[in-house]
Formats: sequence, C-alpha cells, structure tokens
Amino acid sequence: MRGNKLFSEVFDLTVHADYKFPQLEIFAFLYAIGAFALGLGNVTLTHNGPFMLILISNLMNIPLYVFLILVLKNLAYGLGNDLQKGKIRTLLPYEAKNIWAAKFLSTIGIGLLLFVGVQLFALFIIAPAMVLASIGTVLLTYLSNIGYVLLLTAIIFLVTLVLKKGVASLVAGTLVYLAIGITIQAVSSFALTNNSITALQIVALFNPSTALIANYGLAPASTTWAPTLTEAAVLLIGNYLIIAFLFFLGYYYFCRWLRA
Amino acid sequence: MAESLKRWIIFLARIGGVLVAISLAFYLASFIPRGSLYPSSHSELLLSGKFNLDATPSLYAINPQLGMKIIFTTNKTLRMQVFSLNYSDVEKWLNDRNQNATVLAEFEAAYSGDLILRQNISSGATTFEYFPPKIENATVIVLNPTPHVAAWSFNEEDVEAIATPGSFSLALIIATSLGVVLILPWLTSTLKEKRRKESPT
Repeated sequence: MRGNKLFSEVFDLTVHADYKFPQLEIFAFLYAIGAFALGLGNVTLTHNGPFMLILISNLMNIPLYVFLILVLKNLAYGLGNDLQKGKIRTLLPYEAKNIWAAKFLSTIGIGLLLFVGVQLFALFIIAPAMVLASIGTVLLTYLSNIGYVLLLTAIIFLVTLVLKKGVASLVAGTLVYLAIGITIQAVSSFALTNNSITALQIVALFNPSTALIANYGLAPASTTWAPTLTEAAVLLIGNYLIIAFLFFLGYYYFCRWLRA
Repeated sequence: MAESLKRWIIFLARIGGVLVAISLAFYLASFIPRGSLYPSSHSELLLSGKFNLDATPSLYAINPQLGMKIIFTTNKTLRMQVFSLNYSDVEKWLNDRNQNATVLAEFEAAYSGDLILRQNISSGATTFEYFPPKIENATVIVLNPTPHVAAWSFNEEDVEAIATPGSFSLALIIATSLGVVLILPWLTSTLKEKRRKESPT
C-alpha cells in the first residue's frame, strides 16, 4: 500500500515534468492528424489480411515518428537534463525501482497509450467491421511496427544513461536513430542482391514488420524470402526479448548509478 | 480530500483536452479530398421486364476506402439491386437464361444472402453512393418493372476516400462531447476560484 503511494507520488512528479500543458494535447493532435495524412490503404487489394496490413502501416507511418520525437524530448533530453542537473538525486528518498518505473511509464507508457488509443480510434472510423475480422493481422502489424520503435527507444535510453547530458543525449539519440535506419536499409539491400535469407532474418529481428510484409508477399524481399506466419511471429518474439533485455540493462545501470 | 479531488479534476480535464485535440485533428482530416477513379458512362433503352448488369468501374472489389458512385437518369421508375457477387459469376449464371424478371426472381432467391441493397429509382436523376463495411465484390442489376420501354443513362465512378463522411461525423460528436464534459468540472472550479480571489472579502 505504502509502495503504491510512493510510486504514485513519484509518477505524479515525472508526468507533470514530462507533459506540461499543452504538450500532451499537442502530441495527441499530431498523432491523430498524422494517422490520416497517409491513411489511404491500397485500394486494389482484395483480401482482408494484406489490406489491413497496408492500411495500418500507413496509419502508423507518421505517428511513429511523432512517438520517436516524444521519446527524444522526454527520454533523451528530459531524462538527460535531469541526470545532468542532479534532479534525479532529489528523488532519492524514493526507491530506485519506483523512480525507474515512474520514468518508464511516464515517458514511454503514456506516449504509447496515447498512440495506440488514437490508432484504434482512427481504425474504428475507417473500417470497424474489418478490425475484428482480421484481428490477428491487426495485432501482429501493430506489435511488429511498435517493436522497431521500442528497440530504438531502448537504445536511446541506454545512450542517455551513459551520456547523462540533455543536449548530448538528444543529438546522440537522433544519430542512433539515423544510423540504425541506414544500417537496416543497407543490410536489406545487401540481402536482396545476394539472396541472403540470414541477412533478411537479422533485419527482421530488429524490424519485425519486414518479416510480416514478406509473409504477405507485399515486399521486394518476398521473392528471396517468404517466411511463414510462425517464423514471422518467432522473429517478433525475438525482437521483444532484445527490447526487454535492453530495458533490463538500463534498469540495472540506473539503479546501480543511483545507489552509488 | 479536497487536494485529491482537485487532482482528479485536473486529470480528467487533461483527458478532455486530449479528446478535443483529437477531434480537431479528425475535423481537419475530414477535409482531405476524395479521389475519383475510372469514371465511365453509358445510356441505352431498357425493354419492359428486362434487366441490365453492371460491375464497379474498376472491376476491383470495393472496400471501406473504395466505394462506388452511380448517377442514374431515367424517364421511368426502375429497380436497382446490388449483390456482393463477382460480376463474371453473375454473368455466367445468367448467360444461358433469358434476361427477364422471372429469371431475376430465381436469381434473387438463389443469392438472397448476397443482396446488399434494393432500391427504386424514380424518373429523373438519382445519385447512389455505397462504401461497404468490408472488402466486397459489387454487381449492380437494374430492372425495368414497368410495362413501357425505359430510357436511362448511367454515370459511374469508383470513389477513393480515407473514411466515409458519416463515420467522421460520429467520431467527432463522440470525442468532442466527451472531451467538453471532462473539461467542464475543471473550468467551473477554476472560474469559482478566480471569482473568490477577486471578491473583496
């Protein structure tokens, strides 16, 4: 009971710092307008699964960038500044795990909740009957696209903990995002020109949506590699295990640093 | 207790603010223009008791983002039916039979589960627009049930839209009204507090 109260206090403090009025409202607006900016699916597709896959990928395209901006603002810049100025140490009367959980839920949890909420709202405006008919594809598409962004988030979180500086973490986080994006593109091109299935599987481990798209035969990779749905699901689980490991690493490093 | 209530009021107001922001975005998105694909038109005479078949202009299946729009102009009252069936399958079924009202009644009985819409078209111009809730084929059958020859023309196109105007309006009403309701307690308490501070006592 007391643990809950302590967590709630520290969560209140972090949410208040991360989402001063009207930041949350602006991000909600950007999520919603971004969803519809590219919200037209491929109208020539005649099967539910591929149609929903393309529709959801388009709906998520811009909002995922908005989510990354939110992560860079709250996690890289916000947490980096807190670490740099010693604000985190002022929370030390609270337990380290409470501080970490509050930061995690405030920066990533709220941003993700808002993202998913707006996406579901948009999806129910566009094609409510098709959501339930293709619920498997809907869930897999969301999980695989969010997986890539969460992986970037986890790496940005680790970089922020190492650098402990607001502006430096923001710049490094942006560079990490660009570097990973370019590397994935380069490895994909290499895999396609060399017909390397292993390279495509490695890419899918970091960005599982590529396996799902290839499974539906909607990507250039489909001619080289057509994974089964089980294979795509295994790669997705692998991706989330890497994310969990990176966040655990961050948690361990954060708690150790706070206690030092 | 008062402090806890105040926190709840602020929390609900923030959710309300988020909903209003989302509805504003939906409102702006509803202005994204619709696209028109494969426009075509034809006109002909339809004998008494006979019918005519037509598919969507693109021959693709239609879906929640690809609807069909037809403008009929006729000098008699015709009956239009839309079936969620593939055009070539319907054509194949009807090919060996006479295209009259009795055959159409047999077809309707055999495929009653695939009937999406049945509507009378009065003389003059009638616009018909249909966006299916899921991916569907659509074949339009127009019957002349009158004892006279009917002259009619048929302008059709596929319409590409992010969402139907009706679903946008519904979402806007729900999100805006819920948002305003959640903001109201915060607004009234803030105004009360302001008045209390301004009063001389």
